[in-house]
Amino acid sequence: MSSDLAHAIEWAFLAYFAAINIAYLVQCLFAVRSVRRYLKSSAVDDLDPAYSTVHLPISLVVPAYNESKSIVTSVKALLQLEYPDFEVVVVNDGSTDDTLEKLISAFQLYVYPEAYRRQVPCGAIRATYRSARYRNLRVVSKENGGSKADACNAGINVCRNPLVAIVDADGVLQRNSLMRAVRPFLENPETVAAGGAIRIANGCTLREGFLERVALPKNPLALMQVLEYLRSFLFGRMGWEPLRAVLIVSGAFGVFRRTTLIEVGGFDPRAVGEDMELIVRIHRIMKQQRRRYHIGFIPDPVCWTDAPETLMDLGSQRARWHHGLGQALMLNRWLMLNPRGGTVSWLAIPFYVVFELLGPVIEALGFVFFLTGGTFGLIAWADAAVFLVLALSLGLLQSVCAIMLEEFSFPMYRKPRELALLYAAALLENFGYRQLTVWWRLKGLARWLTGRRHKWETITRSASVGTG
Amino acid sequence: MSRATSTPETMLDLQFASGFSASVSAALWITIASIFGSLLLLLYTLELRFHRRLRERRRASVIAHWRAIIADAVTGGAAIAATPMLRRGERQEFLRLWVYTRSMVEGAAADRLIALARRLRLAELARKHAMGSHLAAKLTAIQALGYLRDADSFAALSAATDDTNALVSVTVAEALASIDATRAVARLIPKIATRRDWPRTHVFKVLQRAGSAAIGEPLYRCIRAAAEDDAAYLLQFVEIAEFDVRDALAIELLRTRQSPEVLAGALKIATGHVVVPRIDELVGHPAWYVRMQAAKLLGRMGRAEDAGRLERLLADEEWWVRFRAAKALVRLPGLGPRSLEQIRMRLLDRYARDILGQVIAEAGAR
Repeated sequence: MSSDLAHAIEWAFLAYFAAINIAYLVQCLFAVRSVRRYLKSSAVDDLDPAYSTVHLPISLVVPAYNESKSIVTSVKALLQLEYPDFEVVVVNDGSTDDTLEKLISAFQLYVYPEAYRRQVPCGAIRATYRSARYRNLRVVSKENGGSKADACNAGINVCRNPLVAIVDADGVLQRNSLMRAVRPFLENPETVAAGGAIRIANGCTLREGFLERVALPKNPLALMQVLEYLRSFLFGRMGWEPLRAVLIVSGAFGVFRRTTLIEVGGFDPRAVGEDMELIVRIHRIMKQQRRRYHIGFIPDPVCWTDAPETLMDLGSQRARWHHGLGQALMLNRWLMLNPRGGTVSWLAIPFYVVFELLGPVIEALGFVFFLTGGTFGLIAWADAAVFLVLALSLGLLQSVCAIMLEEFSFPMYRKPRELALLYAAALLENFGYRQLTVWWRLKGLARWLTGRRHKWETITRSASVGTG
Repeated sequence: MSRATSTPETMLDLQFASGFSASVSAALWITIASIFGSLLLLLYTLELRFHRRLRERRRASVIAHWRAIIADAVTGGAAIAATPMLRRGERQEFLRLWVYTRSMVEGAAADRLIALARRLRLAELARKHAMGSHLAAKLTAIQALGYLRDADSFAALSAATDDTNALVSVTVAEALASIDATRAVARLIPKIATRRDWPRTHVFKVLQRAGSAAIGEPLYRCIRAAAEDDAAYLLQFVEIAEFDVRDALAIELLRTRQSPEVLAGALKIATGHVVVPRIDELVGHPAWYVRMQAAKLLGRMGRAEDAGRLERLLADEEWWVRFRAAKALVRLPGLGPRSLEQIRMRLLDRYARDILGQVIAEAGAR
């Protein structure tokens, strides 16, 4: 009887493994198709360097909380972006360090009577500043709202352009990031939000807030995250794009139509993963109102971000992401298998629930089952080993797919040594790192189920970012 | 055992995995398949990298050789007749380089580049690639024909404006506008409203390339005859046309049309050099974007007698209308900082006072 049960469980795990990997491989095929189409369509733009006169004006909203170390360099870099018409709105969310003082001194800010509209809820604004040196720079000083969402909302209320880009204060943009990110809006008027690939800045060399040299990080935790980001952006999001079911535009850099942000009520300050929650909510509201819309994604590496390099920071980030995932799906549960929801309701949401939200639970149960089953003689050790190697090989396959997509689209790691390092990471992440992420995600799941609240999170920055 | 009575165990009971149960055998085979798949993908990645390197090296060598020759042609430094002919492997890369350089120069330098292209028989190469199936090569070739102003290709390219691939058809449109602006706009302008899949950036480029003089008349006629929705869509492109066309069209549409989108578009294209009809009605229009465009136009017109209209708009329920009205008011002639402050102080509406205060501060900072 116990042997039959063990076999049944083995089959169940096998079915789950098969389903998840078929889903990932199908995603990979869609991603290859999307990347090919994107590369083809960008052929003309790459040939013709002339600026068009019709780029939509963009407001860059930069929420900042205790960013004293890097804020001046970041804002200077943002002001140098290649784009015909944009403004930068920095929102100082009641920082307890000298973020605001540094901004005032570096950019000659003066208080200005901004008659802003409170179109989305946000904490009280103390003052609005304008720069005497840069006409397109404003700084909003507000009471601490306890979340990035609240700071973003204040920025949305103050900014004036039809497109709003939310940019992390420590994010490093490419000079042409805005030109790239605005393309989905120009090519499809139904586009309400768009994101691009985010890459890891650790190990790279920066000068004046811009990327000077791309390299892989030396820190092993950051190296594993390079691979995760490749999987997540090139393979995950590019795979969902042709199905019109992109559920996340990264909080590090995303562009939105301002009217849409206002219609859906802006970012939700209660949301732990405010970036994902917003996109899922946009899907829900648009579907409920039976409106046509498009959420775009481009494979260009538009933003480079600093990844956590300590177990504590990484664990906290992953737990927060998983908490945010559960919350975003729950808050917008109307979408789950809703007849009006199309591919979002019937493919993306079930995928995220079964494979992303519950994935760590099933993976953890798998480890426990095969280890205890082997120990107590319910299953042979050789059988347990086969299943563990299966998990490893399927994980490896996904990573190798992601590396292939990177090579196929915008290869950044050009040295043979770097490619070898990525393959080594793809193999080694299965021994310890993957199990740790399962544990952190389980913690996030538990936090979501128990309803704990998160606040602004500070990550210890690596030396490479924010220098120069 | 017969096929009919075989069980999953027996089906998977291959010699290699014979010691395992069916589920474990299946797991083993999936593992082998995924490792094999990973290896294949690894090889494919290496192949991609190898080919990319090879391509980049070849490209660098072609560019190094031809860039100097192209630069000489641009500056008129060398005799074009003495230029060596293109070798087979250099053609595609040279075409890209030529298109890239040609897109950045005009006048005598462009003429010299065209002369270089003639010497190298680039038009024949471009015509061949323009009919090909490789998209990137096709698009480069179409661009080249446009930059070459190759009149012989006009008829063949015209047919391609109906291509279902929006990028191909719109690139063709750009090329046609370069070859013969007058003939091109006559063919293209009636298509713009129906080809909403053409990226607007490219439509602007097509019209800019044709020139404001060439597009005015056909665009005017097309919009006058268009239904409300098409007219509103086409109006965004009128900003490239000459001032008299813009004003004539604005006046005509403001007199005859009712759609708020068309009215807003018409107000937007009006230059402010002539008085437009229905302005009193439009500053009180139910659609806020019509009121906003009316406020902007009053600012462009810059007549002191419009101060009262703008003051009323300062108390509008929509922030954009208030903001644009304040901007327009600040720009009016004869209103110095003191008069503006007096206007601000006598405003009863708090929002009106706030927005005027902001815009006065903004203007003072300039």
